[in-house]
Amino acid sequence: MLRYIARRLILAIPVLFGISILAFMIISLAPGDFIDNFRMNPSISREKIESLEREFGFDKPVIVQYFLWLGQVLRGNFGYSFSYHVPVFSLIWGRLGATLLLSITALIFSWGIAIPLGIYSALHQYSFSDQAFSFIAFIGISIPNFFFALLWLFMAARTGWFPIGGIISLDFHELSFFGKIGDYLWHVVGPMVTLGTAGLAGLMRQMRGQLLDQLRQDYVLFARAKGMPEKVVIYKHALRNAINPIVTFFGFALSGLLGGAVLTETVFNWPGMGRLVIDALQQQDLFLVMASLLLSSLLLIVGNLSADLLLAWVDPRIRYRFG
Amino acid sequence: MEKKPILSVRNLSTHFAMAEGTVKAVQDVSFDLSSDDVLGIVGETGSGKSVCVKTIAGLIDPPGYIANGEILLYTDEFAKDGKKEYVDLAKLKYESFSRIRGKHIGMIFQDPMTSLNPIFTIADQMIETIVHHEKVSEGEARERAIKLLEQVGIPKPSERIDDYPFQLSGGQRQRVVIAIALSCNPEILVADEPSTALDVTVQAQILELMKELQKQFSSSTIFITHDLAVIAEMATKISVMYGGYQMEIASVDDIFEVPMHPYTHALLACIPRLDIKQSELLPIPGQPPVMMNPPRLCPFLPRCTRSVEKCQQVLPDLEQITEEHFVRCNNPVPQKVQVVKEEV
Amino acid sequence: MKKLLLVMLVALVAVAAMAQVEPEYRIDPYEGKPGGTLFLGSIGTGPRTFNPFVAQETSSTDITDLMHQSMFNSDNTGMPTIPALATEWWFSEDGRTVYFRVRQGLKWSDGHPFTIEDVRWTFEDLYFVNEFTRNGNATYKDAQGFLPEVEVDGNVISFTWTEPNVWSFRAIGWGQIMPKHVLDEYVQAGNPIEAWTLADWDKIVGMGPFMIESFTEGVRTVMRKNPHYWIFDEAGNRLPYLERINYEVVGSQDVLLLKFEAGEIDIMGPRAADWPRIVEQAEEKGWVYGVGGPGLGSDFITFNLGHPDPVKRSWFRNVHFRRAIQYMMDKESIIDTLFNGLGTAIYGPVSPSSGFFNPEILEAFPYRYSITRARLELRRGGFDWDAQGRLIDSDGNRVEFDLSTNAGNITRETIAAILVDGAAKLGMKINYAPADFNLLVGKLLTPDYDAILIGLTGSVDPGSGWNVWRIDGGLHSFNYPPEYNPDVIDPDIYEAFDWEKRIHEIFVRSVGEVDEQARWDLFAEFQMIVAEYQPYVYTITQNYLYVHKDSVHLANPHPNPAAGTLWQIHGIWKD
Ligand SMILES: Nc1ncnc2c1ncn2[C@@H]1O[C@H](COP(=O)(O)OP(=O)(O)OP(=O)(O)O)[C@@H](O)[C@H]1O
Ligand SMILES: [Mg+2]
Repeated sequence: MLRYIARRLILAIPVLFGISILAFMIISLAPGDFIDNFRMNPSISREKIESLEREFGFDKPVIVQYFLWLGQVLRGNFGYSFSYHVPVFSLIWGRLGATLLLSITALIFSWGIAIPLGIYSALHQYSFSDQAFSFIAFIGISIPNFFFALLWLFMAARTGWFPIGGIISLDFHELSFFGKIGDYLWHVVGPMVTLGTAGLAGLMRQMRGQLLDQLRQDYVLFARAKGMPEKVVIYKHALRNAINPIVTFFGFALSGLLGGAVLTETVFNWPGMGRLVIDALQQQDLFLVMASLLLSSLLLIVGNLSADLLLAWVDPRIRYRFG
Repeated sequence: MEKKPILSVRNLSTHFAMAEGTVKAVQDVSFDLSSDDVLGIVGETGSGKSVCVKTIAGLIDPPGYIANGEILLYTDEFAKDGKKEYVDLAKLKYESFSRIRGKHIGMIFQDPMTSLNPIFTIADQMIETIVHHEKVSEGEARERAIKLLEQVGIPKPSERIDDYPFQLSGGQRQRVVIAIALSCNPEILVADEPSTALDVTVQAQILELMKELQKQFSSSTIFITHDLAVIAEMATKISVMYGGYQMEIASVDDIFEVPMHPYTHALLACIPRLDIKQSELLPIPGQPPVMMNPPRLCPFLPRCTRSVEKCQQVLPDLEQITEEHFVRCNNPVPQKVQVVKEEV
Repeated sequence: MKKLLLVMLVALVAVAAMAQVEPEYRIDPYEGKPGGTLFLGSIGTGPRTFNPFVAQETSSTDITDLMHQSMFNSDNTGMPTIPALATEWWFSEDGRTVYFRVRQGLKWSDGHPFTIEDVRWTFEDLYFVNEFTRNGNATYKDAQGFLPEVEVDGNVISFTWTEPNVWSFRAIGWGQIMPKHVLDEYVQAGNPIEAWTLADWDKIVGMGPFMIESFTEGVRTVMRKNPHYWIFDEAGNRLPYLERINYEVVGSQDVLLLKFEAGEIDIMGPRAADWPRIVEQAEEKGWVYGVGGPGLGSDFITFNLGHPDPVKRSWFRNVHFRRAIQYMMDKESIIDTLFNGLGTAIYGPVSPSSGFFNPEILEAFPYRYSITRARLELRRGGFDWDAQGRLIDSDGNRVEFDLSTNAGNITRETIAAILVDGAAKLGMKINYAPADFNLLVGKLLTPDYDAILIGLTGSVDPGSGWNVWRIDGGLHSFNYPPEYNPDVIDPDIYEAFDWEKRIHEIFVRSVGEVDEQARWDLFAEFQMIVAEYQPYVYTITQNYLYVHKDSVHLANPHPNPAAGTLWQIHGIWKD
């Protein structure tokens, strides 16, 4: 198993390499560059623009720029952000916490609700509550995130139950340790619900469908015929099988943890990576974009690997194939 | 003293309420099953064989329901004084069935490939059954499971028991299924086409095993098959089903020697052979019956060569001809024909 | 002996008094109450750097501006008239030298003494080095390309160019003075651009009214009053009045408004679309609101006068054609659609809010929306219409060209759409396609375009537009001379226009014009030329809108685009 993991990780290296070349080329060859904003500034001279081009290395051919960058990366230096003038990873680390707090709680929220509801709906197929859940979930899916977020903030402003965006209160630094945790949680509710409801319906339908599918299988009939009580039949036999594909889903969800949710982050003033990266992309802050892309690709690879490992863990057929 | 049947099915009807109409899958089925009896149920596909036995085991889910009839099981499972009594399974609560199934009625299904849960070990699936019914420790249950595997002919059972179903061959899986079905010494074993999905050679082995185990465990058996030939060697009684109805029920000898129903005749005319792979009966001319909202007439009527005026008007009753021979026909084949045949 | 002792004593006291100069504090006539926290919102993701000579976007400069001071401040029309770190300034007789008398006895926010050496160092060692700042040193050079000689004499610092240089004088006067004792190590190492990143928020030292007390990236910046600030009120209170300023990062205008309505923010600049909602609630909630004149920047259409296609080139170079575009724009309806009527039609490069605005252009060139006048101009320009009513030029070519603007900018997209409409009424076909900002900049500067609708940041002083209006300027994109773009501009088709040359001259001359009125007159002429020849066809701008709680007392009696709500922030106080 360890060997399998090692092999997968080694295989990831050329993949990352390829992604980096491709991304670098696409960003560099896309029209414009970071200096465009300076070019449009009436008080910056032509000479200064040229010196900026030299400073950022834009005067060299793209391929040379790439290898210069790669050389630095291999030495562990991912470069400076053009607009922040700090090493890109110090920026990314700074925002990682908020990103993970949001994406993980949103994940827990949507899974925590979707899975039980999906199971309930499957076991009460076509009942009133089954249809009510589907209806609510589809409303969740069809309201755009930013609109939902605005509605939420509107509600928050009216009732005062939740903060109007942000991640910490003004008096955060005076709070006790648990007070601080509570403050984070209080702030995360809005963006978490916004993000969570978007994924809820799909997951719930998936869970429901999978379980219904498994309940029709022969081994469920046989388990009943063996005299197993309904609880065992459903929760041990059918559910464990229904969960398998969902587990793969979960691995993919892991790889999306850093993907961020730009609109939700923006509306909620959530200092996550999504906004950072989108801004960087728009400004063509090359090294920042590259670093976040590499990190996301790495996470994608790790996410896929963990999806496979999780699947192997829950499904012996896969496990044996790995040897 | 007259032997009491262990299972007595009276006028059982099972219907499915579908959006398009009612599917009358089982209609007015009656039979008795005594200990040592091996009842064979034959009939072409869709004739209601599986629904019939599933109903007995309480495995019919909505939209299916028992429209009529009784399923009397002679058991002490629910008795307060420990004396055996007849319990009507048709009226039994759903939860209580888990005390009947597996313990008093063991079941084996058609497809061994899918009967076992793919993600649990054989040990797990056997032990959970034994522990549930017999209230023994896991260790003890494991011992028994290994012994059972040995009895059904799994080599190195103490090792194979920890395998997953996908590590076993089809035949082995069916053996495991049989072992599970027998693991709690049920009084009744129901086998729904236990060999159809298997290779021909494996089929033969499984059937051989079934025969042996039947003797060994001396449980009464209901055996569903398309294959009259298979039944011939095992069964004591045979029930012939068509379109949800029992057409004829009689001792195995009577069915083969003095069949009375035209359909039974047709069946006998096309007994499939073991040496070629056949999962279906050889075709009988004409269309299989409609099960959706059927007219109250003999379902075999459209294909029957012996139909008479009366057949167009009334559905014949299941009439008792001799003590153990019942037939549902307005114009049964006279037993004499058989005699004539013998004379030749 | 006794006499000698007395003399020595007197001398000692004198020396001591000289070493202990009386601090030259500034006294402002505010009558506020000290204390309190001002809550502000910053749209976007918050500051990206705390380095004032690196910062480009307002989310960063909003904060660095509070921490630093320059030699003079603007009055509330944006004019540089208020003495700040310099008490006075004057030109030499020949106009080549400018002198600043620097305040003495002041302290940096960390208590370190502030001296004239800090001023010298800031310019000579930091701002005059092209590589050391993001904007470069061009603004300090005279027309010959020379940086000034710097001399310090007591508390007076002087800058001498080879010829009079008003523009650079202003740049120096506006330049924020940096603490040598903190930043000199970066200058010595040659990398001042790397100083004062976000991580260094607690290391910043300045002469401004507020310093950073705490900073959470992407969340908020809390600023605390500078304990050594050098402006007092008449009652003897050391300013600023406010104890703290809390700059909260807010992702969007929608949320800013929600926060303001909920009372979490004290002052905001609302969108025109939200204005009715503000006005409606103002009385009940106790808000003070106001409209402060048209913004300084404006969007305009620029045509490629050096277009390689001779047909299109001839249209774009035709002044009647450009005027027709100006006439056919229904600015009122654009303002109503976009700004609820809270906008102003703009006809020239200087905003009516600027002290340099020349109102004469409105009378001399009354470009009010009129399709008839547009037709007239076109006819004068030699255009005509074919049987189907389509506009054709004198050679019979159908008039059809591409117009682009940056996608996502709703104001510009709306203007473009209305333009296309107006053009259709003239039988002119505009093929409108929005493009990504970066793509657009590339096209503009190459240049490779027909017409582009874009805007530039404006300022009070028209002199800041030199890079656009001088023929050798980097942004002179409507008619680049071949010298600067040899690969793109064909010398054979290049043509420099008289009006273009005159504007160039005005910009060159204005740099040396020491006399304020003469300088104003130059820029007045510049506005007339632009109005007449329409090198850029100006459109509209939104008016400056603001609203604040009535518990906040602004220092600015009339907030406007040149001096906003936060003008003289040290004089703002809260109940
Ligand atoms: N769950 C169900 N819902 C609706 N109709 C059903 C259901 N199960 C069985 N039926 C119908 O009942 C009838 C009898 O089916 P059954 O499975 O008992 O046939 P069978 O005799 O076992 O056939 P085979 O030899 O193919 O197994 C068929 O017409 C079938 O369509
Ligand atoms: Mg069947």
